[in-house]
Amino acid sequence: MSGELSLVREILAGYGKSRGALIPVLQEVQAALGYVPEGAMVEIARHLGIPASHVYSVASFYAQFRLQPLGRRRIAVCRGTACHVRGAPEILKELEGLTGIREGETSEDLEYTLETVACIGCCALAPCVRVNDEVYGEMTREKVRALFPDSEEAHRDAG
Amino acid sequence: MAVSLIIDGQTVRAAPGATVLEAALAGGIYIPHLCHHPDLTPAGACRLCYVTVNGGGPVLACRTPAQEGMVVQTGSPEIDEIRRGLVELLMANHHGNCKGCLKSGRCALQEIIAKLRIDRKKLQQLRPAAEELPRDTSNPFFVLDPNKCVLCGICVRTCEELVGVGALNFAGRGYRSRVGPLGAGPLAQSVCESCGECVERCPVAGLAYVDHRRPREHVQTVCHSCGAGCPVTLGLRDGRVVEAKGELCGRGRFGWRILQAPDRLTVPLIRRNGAPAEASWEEALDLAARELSRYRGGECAVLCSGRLTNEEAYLLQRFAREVLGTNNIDSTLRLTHAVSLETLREATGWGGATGPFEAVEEAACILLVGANVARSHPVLARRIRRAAARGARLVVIDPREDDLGRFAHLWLQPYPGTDPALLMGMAVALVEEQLVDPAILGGLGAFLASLEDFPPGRVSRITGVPEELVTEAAKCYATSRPAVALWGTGLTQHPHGGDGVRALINLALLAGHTGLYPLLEEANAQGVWDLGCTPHHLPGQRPVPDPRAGGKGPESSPKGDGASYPGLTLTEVWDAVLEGRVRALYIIGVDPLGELPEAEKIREALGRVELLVYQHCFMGATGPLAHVVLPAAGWFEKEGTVTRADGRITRVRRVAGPAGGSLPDGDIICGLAARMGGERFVPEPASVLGEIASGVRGYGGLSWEGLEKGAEANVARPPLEARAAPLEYRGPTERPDMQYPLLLTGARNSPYGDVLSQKVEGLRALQPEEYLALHHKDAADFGITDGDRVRVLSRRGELTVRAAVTDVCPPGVVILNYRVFPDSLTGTISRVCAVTLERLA
Repeated sequence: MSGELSLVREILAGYGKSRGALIPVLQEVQAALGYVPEGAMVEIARHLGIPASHVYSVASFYAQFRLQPLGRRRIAVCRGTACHVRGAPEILKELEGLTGIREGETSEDLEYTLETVACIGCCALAPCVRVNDEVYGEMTREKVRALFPDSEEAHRDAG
Repeated sequence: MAVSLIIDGQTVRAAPGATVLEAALAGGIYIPHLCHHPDLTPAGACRLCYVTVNGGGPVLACRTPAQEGMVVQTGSPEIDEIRRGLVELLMANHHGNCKGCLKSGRCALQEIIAKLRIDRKKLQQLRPAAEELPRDTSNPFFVLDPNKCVLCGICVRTCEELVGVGALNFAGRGYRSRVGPLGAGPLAQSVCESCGECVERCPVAGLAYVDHRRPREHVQTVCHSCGAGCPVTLGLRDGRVVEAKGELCGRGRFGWRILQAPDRLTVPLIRRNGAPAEASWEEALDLAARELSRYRGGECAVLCSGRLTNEEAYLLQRFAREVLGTNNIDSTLRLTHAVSLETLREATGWGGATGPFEAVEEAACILLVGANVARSHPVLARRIRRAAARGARLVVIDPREDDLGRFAHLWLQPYPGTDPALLMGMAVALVEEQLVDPAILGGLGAFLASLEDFPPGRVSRITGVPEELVTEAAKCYATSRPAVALWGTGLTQHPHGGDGVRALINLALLAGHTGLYPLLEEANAQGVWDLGCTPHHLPGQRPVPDPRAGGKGPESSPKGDGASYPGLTLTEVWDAVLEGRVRALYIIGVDPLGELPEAEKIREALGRVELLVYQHCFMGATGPLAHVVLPAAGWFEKEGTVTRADGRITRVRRVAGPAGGSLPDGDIICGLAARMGGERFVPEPASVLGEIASGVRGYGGLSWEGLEKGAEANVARPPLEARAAPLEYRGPTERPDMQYPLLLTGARNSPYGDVLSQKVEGLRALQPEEYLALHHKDAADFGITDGDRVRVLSRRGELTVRAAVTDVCPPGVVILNYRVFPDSLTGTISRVCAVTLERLA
């Protein structure tokens, strides 16, 4: 049995067989694993005595639940008004090219997660990008490439 | 009490508890609606059924109870505007035009658009180019198309409320909402059972059959796929079945396609120069009759399936006894539930269920022993799930994880083969907890003494089930009224299967419950048994007299009086052939080499037997070895009556065919009998039923005309008079040791492993891969990780399979989730054996 599932079981042990526990359980599982894998949803369903599709329904409804694991580098491209007019779409396109994934996805090797956010709150530095907790301002395509030198090479080799 | 209300100026009477929408629809007044379905709880999702009540603001008709004197308006300028807006929004998200749509002409959205006179062209100009989503075409019979879906949730509620599977639900939110199974995978790989109930109810083409043709006529009959005997209405077009309606499982909904299988036998075959060659019926029957006539009495044996009609079964046993002169006649029930019926007969006076299946849904407690009902009797499983959802307590006794697991109040996992000890342990708990009526206990001295053999500690050691759980299960069963007990082959397919059945009957008697249900699997297994296709019983379950004092086991005499003592069972026949005692076989509706365990022995026997007459819809593996092959009509191709596993007797009707030149089994049997000097062999089912009704115990008074008109008829079983009987514990014969430390048992991995489904391409495709479930502790001991290929070795054979590491089976027990149980491991009909595992690189 995988470590993930035993973690899920430990969490479930604290809850009774009640539908009402679903959201707290999902939150705890996400806190422990960083996301809610399908296997965990099956296990949660079994424990709570509800169909697994119901667990998926709830998990996919709330934006707070991630159904994919997070990448080690979580890239957030700001699409606020200021960033947008100063070229955020170009930046996003560049990043999609660099990482090989599209907005909202995580790369297969779990290296990158690419997201967009409405505003990071540093419009003066537009367009900006956040990687994990670090914010990079006044981005250009060149500066983006410089941020991810490895991926650029890897991507070109693969391409 | 019924109420009357006024809808659009018209007085409407409404049934008690009806909603305004139901009252209006029943009164012939149309209110637009998409998410309403009479079988389901109202959802109020589509918001189209707005009405005003007593001049108030708009309310949803589907969520408003009809009340006396209500004045309802189904339309007003305000409501029309709301409705129009909602429909326009739906249409804006609805892809494609109606031309070529699978549901065109039967679509609720089309109907609403027409009724509201919405101009589609105008709308389409305004419509943004929405992204086309991929259709889920993983199911061979229907398609899930998110582009057509209106998110009414009827499918979601159908699967949850009616079927109890919950394969479908809404996923995502807002504009991205869609209906689908768990995760991103296809429907066919989800828990969906392909019963088609959602497709039946989808108002649009969100779920639609891929090759549906509209039927022109309908015939009511009974389903062929299991002993639950669900009523089914088959739709026909140009003489061919095109659909099945009714509360059905996947086998029932789509299994009729077996009639149209391309490899149906259509012409008699006789062996010429070692190869089967086509022949006329005259030639084939003449040859078969001439050859069969050379053998008499115990030299012949007749084997059949549980899918003959009652009339055919009666004719067949007459043929065996009167014409061939032998009691060597048996059915495939031998391998599953013969032991159940024999034990029930001994204990209660009649071998059969004690009540109707309908009572299962009404029970307060359902005890399920060794039965994977969701795979063997899917519609019955629904009744159980619905009962549990309503509050009935479900107690499951099975080492295997069951599809009903999430509804189980208690789940006891005894080691395979130890059910008798567990059930006797429960009886002990009842006595100790003083839950047995003293009136019942009186005179049970011998039984109570035998209980001393099952002290709680010992039971717990033998079965691996904790003492408290045994007591809790016993209390739950005994204190709930009414309670029913159902059991499957998990209880019976052991060397001491009869002990398990006996122990369960004991438990029921002690608790004062009468609901006992053996879950026979073949559609007319009960009728075939009742009408005498067994070596030990004549029609009406009357024992064959055995003049040999002490009854020394089956024998066979060279000629003549083979019918004067009990005959050979289906499992004994093969040895008798190999020993030269049986020299001619007449096999009907079963393909022993293709379907039965001990294939090697059967192959040898079929190669050795002097005469093999094989009567079947398909060639199978046995056909090529036969001297004469007689093509038989299928279930829906003949008239007759059948007996459901709970004793209900119904009419099965000829719907189509028979295919090609095949004939109903009854006609063939009579053809042979006539050629062999049999008297009064008339194939007409009505006349055979008359004969049955006038002479067979339990079947007296049946009338063809009555059944034709749909009259309810049940086997008249004698009143239940039974006493708990003592039992001595006999452990499983197959035990693990150092070399073979694990105990293997089997679980069918889908409802589609049965013989019928194998012949339907789509059902075959729905079968998942086989795997071996094992506990993570055992996996660690053998160095196996999830997904590894492993070699499973028993004392008799081996096989290779994928491992699935889990914690739902008890440590020490591994569960082979099979499509068709491989007999290479056990080498016998038992489904339990000691094994060891090797991980393959």
